[in-house]
Amino acid sequence: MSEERGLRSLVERAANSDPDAWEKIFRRSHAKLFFYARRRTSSVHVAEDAVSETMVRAMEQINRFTWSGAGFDAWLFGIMRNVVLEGYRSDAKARRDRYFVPEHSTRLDPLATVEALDDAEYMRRAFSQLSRSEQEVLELRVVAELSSDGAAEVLGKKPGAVRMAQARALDRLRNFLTEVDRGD
Amino acid sequence: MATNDEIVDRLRDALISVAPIEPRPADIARIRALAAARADRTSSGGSFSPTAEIVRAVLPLRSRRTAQVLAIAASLAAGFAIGSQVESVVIGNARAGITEFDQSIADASGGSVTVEGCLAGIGRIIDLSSSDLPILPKGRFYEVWFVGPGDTPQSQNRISAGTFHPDQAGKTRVVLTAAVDPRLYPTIVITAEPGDGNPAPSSTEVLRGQLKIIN
Repeated sequence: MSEERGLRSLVERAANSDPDAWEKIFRRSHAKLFFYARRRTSSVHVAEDAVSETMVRAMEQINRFTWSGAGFDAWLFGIMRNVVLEGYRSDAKARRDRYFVPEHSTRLDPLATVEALDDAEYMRRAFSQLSRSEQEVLELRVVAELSSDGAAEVLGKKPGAVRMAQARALDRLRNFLTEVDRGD
Repeated sequence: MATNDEIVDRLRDALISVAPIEPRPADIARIRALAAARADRTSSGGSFSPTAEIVRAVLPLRSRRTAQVLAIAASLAAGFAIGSQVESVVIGNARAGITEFDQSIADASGGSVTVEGCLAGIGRIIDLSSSDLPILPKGRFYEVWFVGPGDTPQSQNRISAGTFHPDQAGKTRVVLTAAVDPRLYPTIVITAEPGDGNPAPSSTEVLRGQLKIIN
């Protein structure tokens, strides 16, 4: 069964209130929703609460969901975005320049860890220079792996506008990376 | 100069944790319970609209505590008791408001708590009282867990019913709500938590007992 057909079947079962289907949807979507929420909330726990609230709202609204080019994941992210905007937005000061740091230990060797963290830090520093809207476009396309149609639905824009915004954001990110590499 | 694809790969690595992030067990339990309640209602011909009890049961712990206080205040203001509100909720063959367990649980040192659990919506209302739980140092608190089969520190199978601490006189009387079926989670455990923000249970187990289901 293709991934698309598998997802359609899962959503159909969820619409019929199958607890197993909802658990699968939750587990399948959790990481992407969590990373999106984590960058917009004050703590891991608040981000987890936001993901949980998103799933509850999805369950309440599942009968209104219809398949379109944007897909089910974009629909979930649209709900998540509202949840974050409504009640889980942390104060700007607490959020500024703070990024998610893995809480669990990793098994990279020390040199690889240092190199990986260096590169990640460079990238995060450059990413923080982008505007909020540019960051959100890249997060939806790169972290959430939404299609341009999907990101467009979440952001309330046209797919073409999202593709242009993404290209602009990547150009600016490339410039900032060059500056960071130079130590400017 | 880096290509767009290379930048996208680096960005993905920078923004996403390398460690897997798993959903909280209590959240999974809530989602499953809510789906089951939804199925129950739609099969009986009703449309799904979460009752106050269901909403409260699926809210995150901190929000749930706040909602609980607000719900109780609203009930008192309106002149209704919580019991009368949940009495009309029917789940399968069971009627909300029925007491499912009412017993004392003691530990080896003689400390004990009395727990009473009533069916309410998709979850349970737990009335817990004790006069001999030690007062914990500032910042620490007790947490009540419903524990299912196979629960281990590495693979937990338990649902939190909430947190509390005794008053200054060492008396405890709290009403908690939890989206839990005591038949599936038949062991009640109370732990002393350090207040470190970690939602996982601590290893300091104060009391443990098997629930005796009445109905």
